[in-house]
Amino acid sequence: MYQYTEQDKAFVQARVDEFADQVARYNEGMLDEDEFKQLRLRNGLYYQRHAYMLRVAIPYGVLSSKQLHQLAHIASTYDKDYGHFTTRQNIQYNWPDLQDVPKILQSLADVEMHAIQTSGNCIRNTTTDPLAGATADEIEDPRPWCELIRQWSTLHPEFNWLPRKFKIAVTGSRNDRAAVQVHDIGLRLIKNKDNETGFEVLVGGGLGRTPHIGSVIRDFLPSADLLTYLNAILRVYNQAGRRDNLYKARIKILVSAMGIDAFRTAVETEWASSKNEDDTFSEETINALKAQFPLAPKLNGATDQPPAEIFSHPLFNQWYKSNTREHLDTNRRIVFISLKSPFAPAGDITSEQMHTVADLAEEFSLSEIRSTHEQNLVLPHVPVSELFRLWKALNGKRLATANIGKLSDMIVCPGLDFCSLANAGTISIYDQINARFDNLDFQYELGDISIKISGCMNACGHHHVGDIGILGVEKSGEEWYQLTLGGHAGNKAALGKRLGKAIPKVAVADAIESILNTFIRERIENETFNATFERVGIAPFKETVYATAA
Amino acid sequence: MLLQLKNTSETDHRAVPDSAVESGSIPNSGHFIERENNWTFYPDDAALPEDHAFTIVSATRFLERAHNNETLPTGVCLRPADSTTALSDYQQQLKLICIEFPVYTDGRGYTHARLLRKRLGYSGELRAVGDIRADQMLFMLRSGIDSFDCINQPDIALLKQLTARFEHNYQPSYPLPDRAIHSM
Ligand code: SF4
Repeated sequence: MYQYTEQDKAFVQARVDEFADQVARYNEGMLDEDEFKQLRLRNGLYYQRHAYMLRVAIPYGVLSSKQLHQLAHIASTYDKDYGHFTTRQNIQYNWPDLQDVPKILQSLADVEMHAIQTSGNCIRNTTTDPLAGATADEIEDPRPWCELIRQWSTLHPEFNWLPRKFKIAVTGSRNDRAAVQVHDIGLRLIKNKDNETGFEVLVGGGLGRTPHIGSVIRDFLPSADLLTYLNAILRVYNQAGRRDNLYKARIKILVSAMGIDAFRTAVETEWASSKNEDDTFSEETINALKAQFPLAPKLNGATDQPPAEIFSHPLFNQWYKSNTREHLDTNRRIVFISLKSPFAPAGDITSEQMHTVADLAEEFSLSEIRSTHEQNLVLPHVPVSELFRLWKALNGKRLATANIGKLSDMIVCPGLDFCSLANAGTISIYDQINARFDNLDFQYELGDISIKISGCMNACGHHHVGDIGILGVEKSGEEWYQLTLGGHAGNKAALGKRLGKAIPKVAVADAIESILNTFIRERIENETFNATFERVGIAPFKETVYATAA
Repeated sequence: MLLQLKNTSETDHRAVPDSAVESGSIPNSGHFIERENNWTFYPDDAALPEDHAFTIVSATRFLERAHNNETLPTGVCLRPADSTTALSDYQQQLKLICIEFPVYTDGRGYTHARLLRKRLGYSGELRAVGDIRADQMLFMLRSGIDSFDCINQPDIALLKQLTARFEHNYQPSYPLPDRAIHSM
C-alpha cells in the first residue's frame, strides 16, 4: 500500500501544527466561533448532539495493521474505547475532547494518517472497491488512481470552498462495489477498443433529500487526462453551483437544472482551455504510485479446494460460505469481518477488537485491512489453508458473525443517538430488526438482501439504494419511519420506491416481517429480493404491510 | 491600509503609487507590505470623477461603459457571480482587478483569480476585497491574488507564519507567487 514520501510526512505534520495553532487561537479568542467551525470541519471535527465528533480519513478504505493498532490506541486513550466505521470507509470517534484533538491528529500523522477534508464543503475522501487488487473481475487496480486523486484534492487552493461537499468514487472492476452511480463524480476504469485504459466519467449522482443516479458525462477519458478533467468539472461547479440554498447546492442539482448535455458542453469548453495547464501529471507520477500497490505474492502448492474443516465444523462452514469470497489467487480468499453483530451498533468496533483484527491481518493478510461502505472490514489476502485458524480467532472476539450480504448486515447511520440533524433513532431500529430475525438459517434462506437505515433525509445510511430502505421522519415530536423498496447500488443503480405512509417506531419490525413474508410467497425458486421485486412490483408488498400495520 | 505581496511583479504595469511605503515598523513582516489604498470604489449609482486613474467600478458598469464607448476606469471589481472572461478584451488597460469575497466561505473568487491569471493572462494587481480571513490567504495567493483589502486586517506576523507553513503542496500548477520568499 501507499507509503508516505518525505513530502507527505512534512505536509501532514504541517497540517497538525496548523490545527494546534488554530485551536490555540480559538482558545485565545482570535478566531470566532463560526470561522473556527469552518476550519475544524476541514479537519473532520464536528460538534454533535453531545460532544465533538472526529472523523478520520481512511483513504479509499485501505489500512495497515500498524494504522489499525493506532486507531485502537486513539480510541482507548482519547475516546470511549470504540470507534465507528462509516459508509464512506472512514472511522469516527464520538467523544473526543477538543483540547485532545491536536494530539489525536499527531497520533494519526505518526502512522501516515489524517482527518483532512473529511467534512466541510470541499472534496471528501475518495472511496473505492474494498476488494481492489484482490479480485479477478478487475480491469485495473483503482487504488493508485485514488491516491492520485487524494493528493490532487488535498488542500486544492481553488476547490476548498465549494457550494457543498463533494464526493468521488472509483471502481476498477466490472462489478461496481463502490456505488459510483450515486456519487458527485463516479469513475469507472475501462478499456477502449484499442485496449487503452481510461475512465467512464459519471456526474451528478447522489442520495440525500433529492436522490439522483449519475449521468455519463464522458464515455471514455484517457487516464492521463484524469485530473485536468476533474479540475474542469469542479471549476464549472464552483462557479455555477447554487449557494443560496443549502439543499440545492450539490452538483446533482446543477446537472439536472442545466441538463446533462449543457453541463457536458460547459465542462468540455472549460477543459479545452485548461487541459494542458491545470493539474496535469506525468506518467512517472502515476507509475510510481502503481508500484506502491503490488499484487499479493502468488501462493503455490495446494489447489482451489475449500478448507477441509468445513466438513467437520458447521459454524465454520456457514462463515466460510457467507463471509469469504474468491481471490484472484485461488489459494487465497477474501475475508469479510462483519461489524453487524447483535451486540453493538452497526459499524462499531472496540479497541480490543481493532487490535485483534490488526494482529490477524499481520498474521494472515499481509498486514492489510480494508473498510467497506457497508461498514464492515475485509482481510483481502488470506491463504485458504489459514482460514480455519483465522475463523477461530475471530470467533473468540465476536468478530465472526456470518451474515455478510444477509438481512442483518444492515447499513445504519448514527441517527438520533449521535447526530444533531437526525429526525429519528436508527440504532433502536437496528436492534429491533436484529431481535426479530435472530435466526441465521432464516437469513440464509432469504439470500442476499440489504436493509439500509437513515435517521433523516440526508441519507447517510443510503436508504434509497437498499432492497428495503428505512428513513426516519419526525411527526409531531415522535419518531416515524418511511419505507422504500427495490433500491439497488450495484452496476444498475436504482432508487427505492416509496411503500406508503410512514409507520410508527413500534411497528417497524412487523412491517419488515410482512415484507419478507410477501417476498417468500412471491419468490420463484432462489430468486433474490431484488429480482422478485422487479418482477412483481410494489403492490403486493403494499397490500400486506398496510393490511397488518394499519 | 492594504496588504500587498512584495516584489511579485516588478515587470508588470500595475500602478503602485509613489506614496506606497514599505512599513518599516513591522519587523519580520516577510513578503507583505502595508500600503496606502489610493483607489476608490464608486458604486453603480455614484457619479464618476473626471480623472479615472484610481477609480474602481463594478464589472457590470465597466462593461456597460465599454459597450457605450465611454472612457474606462482602470479598476474593476468582480462579484462572485460575474464572469471573468467578459473582461478579456480589456485586461490590457486594467491596472487593478478586485475580486470581492462577500463572505469568506464563498469560493467562487478563487476560480476568478485563477482564470484571470491563466486564461486571460492578466498580470496587473489582483486584489481580494471583503471578508478575507488569514487562514485562507495562502490559497488566495496560490490562485493568483497578490493584494488584500480586508474588512478585518490580520496581523502581518501571523500572516507570514500561515502562508509559509506548507513547504510542499500537491498542486504544482498552483505555486505561491514567489517560492524564494520563504527562505528569507
Ligand atoms: S442520515 Fe441524517 S441522522 Fe443519519 S447521520 Fe446523516 S445527517 Fe445524521
